[in-house]
Amino acid sequence: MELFDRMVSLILLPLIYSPLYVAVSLGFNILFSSTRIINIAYGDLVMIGAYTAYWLYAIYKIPPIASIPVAAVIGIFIGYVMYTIIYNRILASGSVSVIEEQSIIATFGLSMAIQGVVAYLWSPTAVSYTYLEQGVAIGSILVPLNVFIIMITGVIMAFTTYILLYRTYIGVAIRGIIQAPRLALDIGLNTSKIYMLASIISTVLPVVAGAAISMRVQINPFMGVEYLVIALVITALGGLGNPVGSLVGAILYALMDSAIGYLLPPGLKLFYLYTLFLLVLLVRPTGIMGRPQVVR
Amino acid sequence: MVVEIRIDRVSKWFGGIKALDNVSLEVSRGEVIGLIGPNGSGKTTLLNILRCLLKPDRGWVEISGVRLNGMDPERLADLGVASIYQFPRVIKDLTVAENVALAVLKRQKNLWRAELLAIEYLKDVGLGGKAHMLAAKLNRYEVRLMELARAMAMKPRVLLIDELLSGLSEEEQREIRGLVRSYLDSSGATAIWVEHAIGSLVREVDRLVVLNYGSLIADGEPEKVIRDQRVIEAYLGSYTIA
Ligand SMILES: Nc1ncnc2c1ncn2[C@@H]1O[C@H](COP(=O)(O)OP(=O)(O)O)[C@@H](O)[C@H]1O
Ligand SMILES: [Mg+2]
Repeated sequence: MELFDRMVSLILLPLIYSPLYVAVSLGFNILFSSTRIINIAYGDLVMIGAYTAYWLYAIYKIPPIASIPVAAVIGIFIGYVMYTIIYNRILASGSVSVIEEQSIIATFGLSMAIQGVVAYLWSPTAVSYTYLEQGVAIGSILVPLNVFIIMITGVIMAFTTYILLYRTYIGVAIRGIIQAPRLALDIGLNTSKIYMLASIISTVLPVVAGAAISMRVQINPFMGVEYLVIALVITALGGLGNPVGSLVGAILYALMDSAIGYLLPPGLKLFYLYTLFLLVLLVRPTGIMGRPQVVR
Repeated sequence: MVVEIRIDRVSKWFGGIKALDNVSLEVSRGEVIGLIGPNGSGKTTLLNILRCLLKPDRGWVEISGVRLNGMDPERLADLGVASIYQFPRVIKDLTVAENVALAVLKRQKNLWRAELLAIEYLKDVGLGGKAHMLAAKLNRYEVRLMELARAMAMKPRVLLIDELLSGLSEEEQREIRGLVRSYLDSSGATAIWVEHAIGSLVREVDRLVVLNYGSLIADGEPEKVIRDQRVIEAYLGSYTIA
């Protein structure tokens, strides 16, 4: 049974996490590819979601499952505010390089500010809580129940996002804009409305993911950077502007992450991740699934 | 006659190159203008000024009485202007029906109904059978048909067409010419239709206009214009005659 256990911990567990990674990377991917906005504060949204669930549990004993809808509302609000205060000004320039530059500068500052304020308000010390820690045995490995909540949350988020992208008019419009920004203008799509929705998708997904993952991680003001890198790596792996690529990228990422953890000493995880990211960019800059051709 | 498109003394430079030199043109409502000229004569530049993608350096343009200079191109669709570009604009990862549906989403927000509507337009151009294929699978001719259906789906008052026939076989060109002409007849839309080859639009348009080195050198009845000495020389001076 030795081998079976190893398979469970090396392959099955990572796969259980991958739907959440799909959701985390989709938010980043959709915003970047439709608007060219690079949100450096992306990981901090995961942190905000994690603190939301933590405080609701610590103060009001509200279980994380119930705080997920709260996190979603907070995410929608943040997406709306970020669009109206920051993004629409940057987008007004209409130039790809200006949008990329200014969004990096603006959201880098935002990231620093969010981390600083959170550290000041709630102290930089990591916190955590336990909820549904009791395990289910798979082979001789005990898998905590909360892992399954994380999985279900990820599946629901990824599934909803795919339905939105592939089966609603606004989703088809977002995919259209990703590939032909000019054309969308020509046929009279209301681009500002579409960009606002892309902004909201890109905040709801990480905030909710943060609420879900909070059951299993140490929560601190600086935890976000890991999720920013995860989103970057998966997007690079799967292909920018390719929503299905995010799915493939997330599974690959989860498996590689587990292999790295198994083969290499811990503590340098971010270093390995970033190296992986650079390698992908060097070897296959369009990602494994390829990037849709952009018509300008 | 109501003037639908008014181009008044328009000039446009690109660095040292004068792409348009004091061009004036008036198009009446419902009129179909053919615009021809050798490569680099400024045809696309003139269309791009009407599409608000470029701003004239001198002069001004007007569609349906609205001044366009510097207008946000996003507002053009509201004016009822649709474009077919010289180089195809296809969203390859969407289906053929979705590509066309995007153009009707403005008036039909339900994706399912928008697709049904799109399929009707695709049938009109003979692409009904390929509606659910990915647009990436279409060949050049089919792509052009799809773009025609997409433009028709916008129910335009003004249609701007750029080299729709280039790179197609004789047979395909004949087919597309017929489709565009019968669409323009039935819809009553105003059109500026750019082609490169001198003889390609003689029977399709009401009036033929010729650009050479950015200047308008002829404007009139198609049969007469293609016999005009200056037009023939302009085409002989360049290396292509068709
Ligand atoms: N964006 C641009 N930048 C610089 N030069 C341009 C640009 N667009 C067109 N030109 C130049 O302007 C002239 C007219 O081009 P264009 O309008 O595309 O001609 P046509 O469509 O008749 O072939 C050409 O000499 C071309 O090289
Ligand atoms: Mg041209």
